[in-house]
Amino acid sequence: MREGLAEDAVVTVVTGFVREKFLSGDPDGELREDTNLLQLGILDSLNTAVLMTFIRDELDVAIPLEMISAANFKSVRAIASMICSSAVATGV
Amino acid sequence: MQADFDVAVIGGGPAGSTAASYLAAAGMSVAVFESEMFPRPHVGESLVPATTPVLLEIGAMEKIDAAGFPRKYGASWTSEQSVNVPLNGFRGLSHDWSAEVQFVERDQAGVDRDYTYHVDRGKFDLILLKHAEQVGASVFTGVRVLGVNFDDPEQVTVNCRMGSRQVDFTAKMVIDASGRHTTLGKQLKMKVPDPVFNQYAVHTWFEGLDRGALAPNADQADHIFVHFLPIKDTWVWQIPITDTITSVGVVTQKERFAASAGDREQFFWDFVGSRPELRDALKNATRVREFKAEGDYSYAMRQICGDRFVLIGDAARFVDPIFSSGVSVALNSARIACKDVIAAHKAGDYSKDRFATYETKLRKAVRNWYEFISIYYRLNVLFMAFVQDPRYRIDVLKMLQGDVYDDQDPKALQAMKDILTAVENDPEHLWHPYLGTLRAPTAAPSF
Repeated sequence: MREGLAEDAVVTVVTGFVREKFLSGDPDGELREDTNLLQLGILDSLNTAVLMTFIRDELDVAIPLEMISAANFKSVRAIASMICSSAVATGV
Repeated sequence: MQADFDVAVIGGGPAGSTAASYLAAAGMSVAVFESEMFPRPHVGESLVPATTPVLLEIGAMEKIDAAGFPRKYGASWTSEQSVNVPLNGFRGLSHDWSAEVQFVERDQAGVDRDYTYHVDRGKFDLILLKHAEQVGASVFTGVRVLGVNFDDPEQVTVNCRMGSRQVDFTAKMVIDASGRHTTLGKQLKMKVPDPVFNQYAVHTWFEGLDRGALAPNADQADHIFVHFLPIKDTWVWQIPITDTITSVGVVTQKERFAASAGDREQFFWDFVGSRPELRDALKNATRVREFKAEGDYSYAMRQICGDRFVLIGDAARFVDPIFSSGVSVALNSARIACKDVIAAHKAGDYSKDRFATYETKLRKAVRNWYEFISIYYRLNVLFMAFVQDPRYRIDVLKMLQGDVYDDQDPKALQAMKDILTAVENDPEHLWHPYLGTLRAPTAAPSF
């Protein structure tokens, strides 16, 4: 899954996970790729740990735990960008 | 002048009775002085697998197996987080979050089984004490050691109270296994309160608690459960004692307990109430014991051995109950100390240097526990993340199994410390607001 990890594809996968896991499915489709997850409280300390597990299990990318910063987790797009950088950095 | 015994042991709990078993098996004459009549209730009911090699070695495991204690296959943690999101129509969010480990996931030297036990300490301690007697120790119960006289360079004199009289017994050396009474620690002014930890526990037993209702999966129902409360540095233990009886305890900072003005019942329900499903399950059960409080249990000793004396178990050190290490430290410290004691006896020399191996091993093991515990309290989401991360899970499990007496530095510990430092230094880190208030000094503790 690491090979050819396209950022748009990652956005889709992460969006789906956040919707299902943290937003009860988001039936009104309110989550956007630039929605501020932190400000709205969608991500908190425990959610981020759950999300890291998902990223590792589904996308096979191990994000260093030091990188759970506001900048990297602000939005789904930011998360996807961080995932792709990590995938490149750790090599395929 | 012939001493009454080769070794006098203060205290007949798990540390003292285990030490007596080792020494009696080695052909030494040993006396155990226990102040209470057994069986008696005692806190510290969940074991870790590191107890198994010791119980096997002293030959007591068959009796423990026959006692029918609930088997403990692992540990589970639960937390609950609810967030109400005020904007943009997102619904109120909440999720349950849990983590668990099973001992079967890692092989452990000297451990022949996938489980250990949760125990009624009254029964457990009695089995071990009787076993020591069967192996050849002289056991005196209802006898309280008041102090030890070290004036004579050739032997020690243990001053005991029996009823209205005081009686002296002499021995070549003494092992202090007096638990939190810390008899020698107080007498020799070696005891130092822990500068960081000052937790308090209030606990009791419930009958008829629906353990399955609180477990994410049915096969975890007999795990020890650690329930996080949404209050800093606070958690609840849930330990099966029998099929129907469960031990439940709240652990939190001493000030919070002090603020409740000693009303243990009120304190207990106030805190447990912060996890409604836990409170509801407990309200549907029947409390069958008084609420008990345990405090001032975090301390260390400037010395854990000296000429003609050794401290083991809680009498040497206790930190915190969070990882169920107490009985394991009791048993393993007895095992390691007795190696040195037996060698000292063979050499006819009981000077402090004879116990150096014990001292080094125990300090190292306890230091690892201490740092592990500190990280847990400092940032328990980090601990949870490590448990669930395949890179670190087995290393964490090794610590949770109590397997800390070999010479290897725990791998997960250094990684956790590095990440903790990163979180502490980065105010933008999402975990930064969750740093607990208990913070270990950056220098390694001197004890």
